[in-house]
Amino acid sequence: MRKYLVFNLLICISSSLFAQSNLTISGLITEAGSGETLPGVVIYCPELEVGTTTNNYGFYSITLDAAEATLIYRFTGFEAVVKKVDASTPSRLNIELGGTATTLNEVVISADQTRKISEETQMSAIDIPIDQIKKIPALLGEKDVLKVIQLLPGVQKGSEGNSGFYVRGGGPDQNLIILDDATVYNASHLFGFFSIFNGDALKSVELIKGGFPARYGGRLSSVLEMQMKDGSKEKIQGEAGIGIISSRLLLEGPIKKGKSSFIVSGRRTYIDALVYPFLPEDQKAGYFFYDFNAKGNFILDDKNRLYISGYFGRDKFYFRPQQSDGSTERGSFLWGNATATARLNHIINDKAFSNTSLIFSKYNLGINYETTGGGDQYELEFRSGIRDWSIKHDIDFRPSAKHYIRAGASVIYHRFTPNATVVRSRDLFENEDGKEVYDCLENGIYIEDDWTILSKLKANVGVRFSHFNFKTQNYFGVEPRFSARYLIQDDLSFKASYAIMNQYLHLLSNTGVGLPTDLWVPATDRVAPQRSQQVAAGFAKDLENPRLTITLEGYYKKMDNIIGYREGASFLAVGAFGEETDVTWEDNVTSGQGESYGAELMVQKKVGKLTGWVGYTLSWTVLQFDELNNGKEFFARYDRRHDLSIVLMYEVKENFNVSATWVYGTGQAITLPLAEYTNITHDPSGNPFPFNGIIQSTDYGERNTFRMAPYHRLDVAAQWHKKLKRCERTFELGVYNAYNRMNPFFYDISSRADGSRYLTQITLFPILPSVSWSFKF
Amino acid sequence: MKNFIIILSALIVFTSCQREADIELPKVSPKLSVSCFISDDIDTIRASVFWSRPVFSSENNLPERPTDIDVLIKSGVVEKNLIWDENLLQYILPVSEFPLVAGGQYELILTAPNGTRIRGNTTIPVHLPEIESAQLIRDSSTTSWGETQYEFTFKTLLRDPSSSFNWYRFAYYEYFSLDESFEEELYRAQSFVDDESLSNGIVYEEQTVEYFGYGLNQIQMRMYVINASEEYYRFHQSLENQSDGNPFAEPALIYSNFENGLGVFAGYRQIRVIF
Repeated sequence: MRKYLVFNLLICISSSLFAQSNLTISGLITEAGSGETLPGVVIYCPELEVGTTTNNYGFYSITLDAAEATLIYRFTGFEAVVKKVDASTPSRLNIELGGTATTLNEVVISADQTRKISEETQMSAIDIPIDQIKKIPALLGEKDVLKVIQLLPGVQKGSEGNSGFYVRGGGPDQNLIILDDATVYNASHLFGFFSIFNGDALKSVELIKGGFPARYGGRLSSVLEMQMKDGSKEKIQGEAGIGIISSRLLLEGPIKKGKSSFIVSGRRTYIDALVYPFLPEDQKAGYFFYDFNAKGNFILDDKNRLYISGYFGRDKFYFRPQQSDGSTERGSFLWGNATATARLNHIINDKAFSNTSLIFSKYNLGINYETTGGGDQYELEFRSGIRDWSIKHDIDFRPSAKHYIRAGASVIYHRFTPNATVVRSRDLFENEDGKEVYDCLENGIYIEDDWTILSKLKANVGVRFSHFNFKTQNYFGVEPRFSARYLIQDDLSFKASYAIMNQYLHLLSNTGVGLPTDLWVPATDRVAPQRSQQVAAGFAKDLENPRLTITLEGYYKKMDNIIGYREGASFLAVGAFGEETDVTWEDNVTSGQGESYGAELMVQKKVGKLTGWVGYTLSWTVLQFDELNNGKEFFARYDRRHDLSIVLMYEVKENFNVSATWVYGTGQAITLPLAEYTNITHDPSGNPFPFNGIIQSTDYGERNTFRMAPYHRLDVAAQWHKKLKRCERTFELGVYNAYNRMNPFFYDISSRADGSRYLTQITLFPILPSVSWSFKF
Repeated sequence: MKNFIIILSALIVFTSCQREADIELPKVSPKLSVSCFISDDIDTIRASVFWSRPVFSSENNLPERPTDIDVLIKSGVVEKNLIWDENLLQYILPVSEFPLVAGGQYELILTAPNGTRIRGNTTIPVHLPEIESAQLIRDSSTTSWGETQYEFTFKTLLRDPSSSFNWYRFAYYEYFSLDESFEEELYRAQSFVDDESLSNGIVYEEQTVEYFGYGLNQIQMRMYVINASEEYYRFHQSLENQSDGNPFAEPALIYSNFENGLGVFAGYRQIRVIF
């Protein structure tokens, strides 16, 4: 703590030293009308050719080596604002974008200028405007952030309809998914078909695939950072929607006008409520999910702002059939996340900003089963989950226009419960009351500087130190981070990055489809943490007419200590679901290494009547485990040689827009049985035909040498908007898999009447139309 | 609009979500599968030979258990054929005609009439397992149904030669009889240990087996400790990995040291402990 205070003091002293000869302007940038802070707004001084951006909380600070200058504030979807600043300008300059500003010397320029990707140091990062997410066609009309993420180059989707994603060859556990600073561990509803994120409540979404800044740590492959809306400080407003499987409602407004605001949103499915009454008595069962987001935003004074936000979501599958013989049987399978974050923003001075967060995050899976009848009684309760408590302190410091320094520290206390089982039975031998708990501490400290070295050369240089403790086992990691851009022309740059990442958590999953039964487990004395090194290089180009951004990147990623189930093992053999066994998850896993390399091209258009992107990825992902595939290298299940996504949105009229996505991907790598044969084991007792010694086996050849059929699909949607007196309503008609492509979900082996066998393909979603209706008020 | 809805509904209703996959299936020919284990203390070399049966091909007229394979064992320049035995349904060769020695290197070559040829190599380990101590702890309890449950715990210490990497298999058997002849054999359990993680040259193995029913004086427990070649160890361990119909289990690849073939040709040395 003392170190942080000293660090803050140093910032104050150095700020005042720099301030003596320069003009420093800082403030918050908000959306006119709602007061919502805007992250990622570009502030640019054309005379000095320097600039900066707002941080996640809408704060900016720019120090200019001039007595007077012009500042241009620009952000996607908003009209840019130009301001003349000089010594008489107050150093705190809050800006509203998108509305009619009245500040002195303000000029509204007509060009809809956006961030230039060629100027940014960060590479391998993509931000998706929320309004685009709402326009993109979706399965059953359910708008889903993670499904949109899957359409980006470098990101592979898992199986059909699943919201899990694989970034540059990494597993779904290697993605750090953050909602308002809180880590989300299982981001899916309905066994993975929908993500838990309600797009209505989100303000920003950014995915980083490589060149990770030092402020991020704990995962190998990507960071998906989402911010919830703050809630309007000016007026009560809302949004509601009715779809095929769920309905949703969002309300936001001021608590105290101009000073504090709230936002709440909720969503629930209702198929169970509609179907349940019509089910036969002996087949009573149902499924539902719901989620709830809430956030409060309080301006304490000119320098301090408090945010309190939370998420709570649940999925539940249940059955309670009525038996005619009087016996009872009931069970449920439920899982869900809960997060809570309290954040305090503090403007230390014109050049420095801090944020302190207290974070709680929890993921739980529970299985309950109870049966009575015939004098017997049996109850099973199974629980697994992970719970985090963490504290995080970050400081943004901009001593001059050439430096943007960020530093911070975090402490996370994890409690993993892979297996807690209680069995109660009249047969005492079946009774069990066991709990497997792992308490761990994960710490990180970092510093990074976004440094303008020359007018054409800019770099983000940083380092992160990480530490993980489990019982007496301590792991330490030093993670250098580097990314740089060199401007070849005004709108063309070359970029390169290097990052080392450590991950102290593992996800045990052998279905690969992101089921709620996947178990989060820590690095232990027997299972080492995962580690990766990634190098990437490429070009970024901004085109003026048409307004396009083009990025071309190549990458190479090496991953060590990644884990997988041993051959023949599964989560059913690690003591789950009340099975009595001495085998722990550590006995069932084996560690190996992987490498992934490829190239990604993205052409994106964010403004205009026609928006969208085309993304293409050429990639290879190869794994090697000493104990798998006889030690030989093999392709990962989600190795995909070619992956193409075309996403187009077109505003036909002011009240009518259409959109379409087309995706193509090489088939997944899978293992198929090739032949069956007989093995005889050695019987030490000398029997040439030993009891249990003649074993029928399957010859699989080598692992993942077969490819499923290529995946491709076209989705289309049309939206009609109508402005009414008090609200705006939107009607959407969509078609998922418009040309009814029979994409394989999995293969099975079937037999014909003559005994010959063939491969059966099971398709999950044929053509599926959807309608939804929503309105804003 | 009405027609559109009718066509769309019909399309959904008549679309089947399960169909024969229209992709090219792997082209697989039958492979020879062999099981042959050799040690310096056996009296007969036995090789069990089978043809594999491709899953997706019905054009296989080869017998599952071929009798026309040329099976040849070699050590240096010395070689000898194994002969098909109609009673044992195996290819055999008396060791008196082809001596096997500890530390010896051997090759097994199989040639089928259709030209298929596979070969595998192995070495018989130099050392016998060196037992430091072996202990059997017997315990019994009565279940709620009044049955006596016996629990046998084997605790074994081996001294591991530090000069080489070693693999061990422990196999536990129970012999039952009413007259103390102990001829009826029941296999009970096995475990596998390698010395990769050893620091003090001692291998410790503990195995517990449970048994219901007969009195203690009607059963005899035996333990076999096998100093295995790598081929022997990996083959048996991969067979252990085969799942019993668990649909979520990862496919287990069965080890083979035959190129273009299946099965194993493996050396070992073993000792027996009777408790």
